[in-house]
Amino acid sequence: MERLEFAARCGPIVFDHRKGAFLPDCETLLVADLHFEKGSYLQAIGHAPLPTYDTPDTLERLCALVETFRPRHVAALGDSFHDTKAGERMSAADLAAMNALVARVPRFTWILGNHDPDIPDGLDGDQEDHIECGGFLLTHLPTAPLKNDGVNVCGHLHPKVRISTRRANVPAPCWAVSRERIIMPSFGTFTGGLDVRHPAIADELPGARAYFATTGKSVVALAG
Amino acid sequence: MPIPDRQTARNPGLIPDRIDAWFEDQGWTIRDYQRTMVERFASGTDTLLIAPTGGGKTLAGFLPSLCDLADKPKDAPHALHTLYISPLRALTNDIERNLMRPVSDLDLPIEIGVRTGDTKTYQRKRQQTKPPDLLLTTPESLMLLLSYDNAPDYFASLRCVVIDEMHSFTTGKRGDFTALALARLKSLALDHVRFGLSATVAQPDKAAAWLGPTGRPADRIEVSGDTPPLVTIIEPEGRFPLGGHSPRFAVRDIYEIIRDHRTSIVFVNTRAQAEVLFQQLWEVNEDGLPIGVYHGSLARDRRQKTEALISSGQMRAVVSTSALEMGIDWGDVDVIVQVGAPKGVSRLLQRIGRSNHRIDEASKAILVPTNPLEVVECDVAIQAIKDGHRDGEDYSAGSMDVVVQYLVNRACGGPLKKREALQEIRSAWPYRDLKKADFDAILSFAVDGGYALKSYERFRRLKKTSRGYTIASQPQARRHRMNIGTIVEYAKLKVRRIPSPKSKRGRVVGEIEERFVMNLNRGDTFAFAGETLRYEGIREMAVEAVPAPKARPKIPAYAGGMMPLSSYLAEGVRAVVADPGQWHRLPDQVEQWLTLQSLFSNLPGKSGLLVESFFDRNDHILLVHTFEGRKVNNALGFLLTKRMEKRGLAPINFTITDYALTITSLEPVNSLDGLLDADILEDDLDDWIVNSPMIKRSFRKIATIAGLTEQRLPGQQRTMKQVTFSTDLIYDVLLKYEPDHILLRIARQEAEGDLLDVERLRGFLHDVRHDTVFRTLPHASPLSIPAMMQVGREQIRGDAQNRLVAEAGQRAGSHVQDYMNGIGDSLLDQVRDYVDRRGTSLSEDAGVEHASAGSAGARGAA
Repeated sequence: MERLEFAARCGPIVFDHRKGAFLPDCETLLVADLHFEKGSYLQAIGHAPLPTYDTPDTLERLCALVETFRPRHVAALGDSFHDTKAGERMSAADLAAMNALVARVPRFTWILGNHDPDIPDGLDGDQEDHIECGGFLLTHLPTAPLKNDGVNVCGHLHPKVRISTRRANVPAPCWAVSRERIIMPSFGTFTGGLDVRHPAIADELPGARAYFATTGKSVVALAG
Repeated sequence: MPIPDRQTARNPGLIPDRIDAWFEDQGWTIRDYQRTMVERFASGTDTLLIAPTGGGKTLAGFLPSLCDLADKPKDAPHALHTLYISPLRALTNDIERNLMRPVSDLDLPIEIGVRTGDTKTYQRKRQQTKPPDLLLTTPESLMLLLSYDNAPDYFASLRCVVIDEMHSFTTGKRGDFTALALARLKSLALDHVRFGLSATVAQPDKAAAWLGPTGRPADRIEVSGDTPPLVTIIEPEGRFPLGGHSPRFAVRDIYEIIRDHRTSIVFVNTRAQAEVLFQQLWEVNEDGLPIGVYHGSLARDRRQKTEALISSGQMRAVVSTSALEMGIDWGDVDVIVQVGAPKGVSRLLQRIGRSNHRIDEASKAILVPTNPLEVVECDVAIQAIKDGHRDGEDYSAGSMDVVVQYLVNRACGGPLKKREALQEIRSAWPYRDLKKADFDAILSFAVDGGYALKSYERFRRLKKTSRGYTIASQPQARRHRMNIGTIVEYAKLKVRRIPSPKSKRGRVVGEIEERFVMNLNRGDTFAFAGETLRYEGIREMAVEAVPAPKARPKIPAYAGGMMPLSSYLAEGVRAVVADPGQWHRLPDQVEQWLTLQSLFSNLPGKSGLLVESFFDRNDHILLVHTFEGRKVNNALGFLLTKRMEKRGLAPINFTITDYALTITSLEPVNSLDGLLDADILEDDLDDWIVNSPMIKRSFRKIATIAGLTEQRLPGQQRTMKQVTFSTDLIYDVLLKYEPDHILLRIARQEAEGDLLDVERLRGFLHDVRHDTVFRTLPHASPLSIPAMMQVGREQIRGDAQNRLVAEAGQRAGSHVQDYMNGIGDSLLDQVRDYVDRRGTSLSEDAGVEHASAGSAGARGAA
């Protein structure tokens, strides 16, 4: 299925196979860990002759999600830019395209990652440490939900899971879910994943777990 | 070539009397061809010496230099005279030991140095300022020396380059790499001679062309007079397994061979096999014989210790991979045991040559095939050795990713002029036909990536100056030097052996692949460095493990375990299988196995094709017994799965061996019905291959060699961000935005040239079009079992994967909601209580498996 809806304890959330999530109650589209300008970072700091199509590609895919959901609010859950100097390396055309996207939706929020708190100058949109949408607390790093029955939606950890089919294990990015937390898959074109069994992820998900994995074509739910 | 004026040798071409006398004292005589090499040095003639193992080849390579240097004034300035290039680090240490004897006995004014990845920093520094007369090195370390700006001075005095065991690395990327280094040396020191030392090869003319600069093949000296080796197949107490590659059935037999001989080397085909067999041998080692293990992933001090124990005769046997295959001269080894298929006649002879280094005595080898098809392969190899046959080598055009690395290396050492560089590269024989347009694209990639989109204009690897291209910055140079080489391996972690869980410090015993570590949980055990270790965790970028003597270990994963079979052997095996008249040579068990095949299914004919279809466990299997080698089977695998996908048969994956193609599908193939017609060759394979794991694997290697990504980051610990970045992501982006990029072109060319053989497949399908037997069977046939047990599946990203993933989701999907809404938590609590009461240390994850399997009917994904 291209999309799956999950009833979290504070309300529904929709997982799209293109690695975006949608909160129907507050018409908010969520993406995490865009890592704009990672390619040029690896050129500049890593000295690697990598291609730098990652920023326009990430942006293009985000536009497609906005096109589908027509959200009233888009929230990028931190690590949107790979590093603090990303703005200096970004092309004028990419910056213009980003601002055009921000202008297309009523509200656009950059939630700031703890490690890369700077959003480039000249970029439109709100900047927040966290946002509340109903019972959902949107943050970059895993954070305890504010309300008793709340759910924290966060990024940062880039979870991926192996889908164990009868014949093979298919690795796929996923939403890693416990009752109080939903960790988003990373959205950026040049971002990889960390296996959900890694303690960095597993320790953030006490109790029963589920994974919503996306193969790029469909989303499947797996009990963990 | 002009005859150079040799100043140091008073009698050019003659061997000084005292050297002659020394040999006589040892009871040795200098052979004619060894004298000839001294003359060739004097006349400056590049020469390829082809001689059997044990014939004194290495000495022949060094003798000219020893003679030339013998009369060197003691106070002469330090200058490099001879460069010895060997494919293996172990070999350089061994040669050094052997050379030191005449040098010290005769008090020759010759300094010998070793420069490999194992050389310590202070030694490197010393070599840099005071070059030894003789430097023993590997291609990678040579390239590193060439990357320093003092290279022109360092190599200016060079008179002789000796390339040992040349046959083992002239084909392939490492050969291309070495050829480019040789071309560079020729520019830096015009007046030197190249000697190649090689075992018998099938195409000596090509090898000689490779050795000389383009257009001037080296002269050849071919020495025959090999005593044929005694090779037999083991007669085990137990039965040969029907498939797989485990020698467990013959461990006791192998142990008895070790006991009955002075010193044995037990060769296996993979590092994992080495670890396992070593442990199994110790399980039956009632006499406590000193048996060791040796492979390239062990730490340097471990390897050197084992080498020393073997050469001093203190080791009764060593289980080894190809790491000990070459050169090492232990006169005392009296038997070679080859476990698993030999894969090629030349390779087998190379290994056999490790025993009994005396030219006039026969070497002895015992082959231990691990399944019936391997028995046949061993039989064919033994016949081939008797007939004097050698495998054909594959001298294909030089790889372009290696040129990228070479250009950056050149630029590190000083300004690079375009025209000179092209000329130099073309003077390396594998690159004689390199096109100007390709060179331009490669250079452009080396300079700034060569992308159409340049969002970040400041990025440069090379910068253009009026003197030519130079490296853009010191960090760039450092990054390049850390990544020199063509052997691309998976990321590795050091293994630190902690004597007990309480102690803090441990010793590094070797390296293990990160991929393997990813699948380990705390408490898992694995075989490593000859013992069983228990995984404790990762700290400071090293795996920490404690000895766990009694546990049953998992087997570490090492890439590159699969060696392709020579096509000669593949054809030979088909001939034996098809002809019951030849079966009497085979062990009874194998004869029975073939008879059973003929009764249960069919025998593949001498010509023609046998295709079998049957159901196995959950899926339908199609087995195509081509006996045409990997490349044909690989090409057919892609074409056939594409057609099956079109017909809705939902292929899941395929595996290849040299003999057969195995396709697994969700739907059965009930008739061939045009599935194998020659017109499948008309199907466009590009879009089917372009997203295949195969081409992405190639791309990963190309990207690493070309410096797009790196194996190691200089002086930097890897953060999570870097660990998780894969070349697949780069591949996908390039494919989307710049499908004609040079690196993608290289990847496609490599796939077409090295991995697939569509032309040979075309001929084959034409030949068998009226001669194909299709059998549907109730279960797997005897002949199919080795193929089915082959590892390394090529996954098909098609309908089957979607269906399987959806199925995995469905099993869990409808229950996940309930599970998450509370049931899961309470069940988890119950399971934990139960576990606590039993007092076991079942992990939380295992508990989840119980809970989900019991309640929600879902498979634990954790």
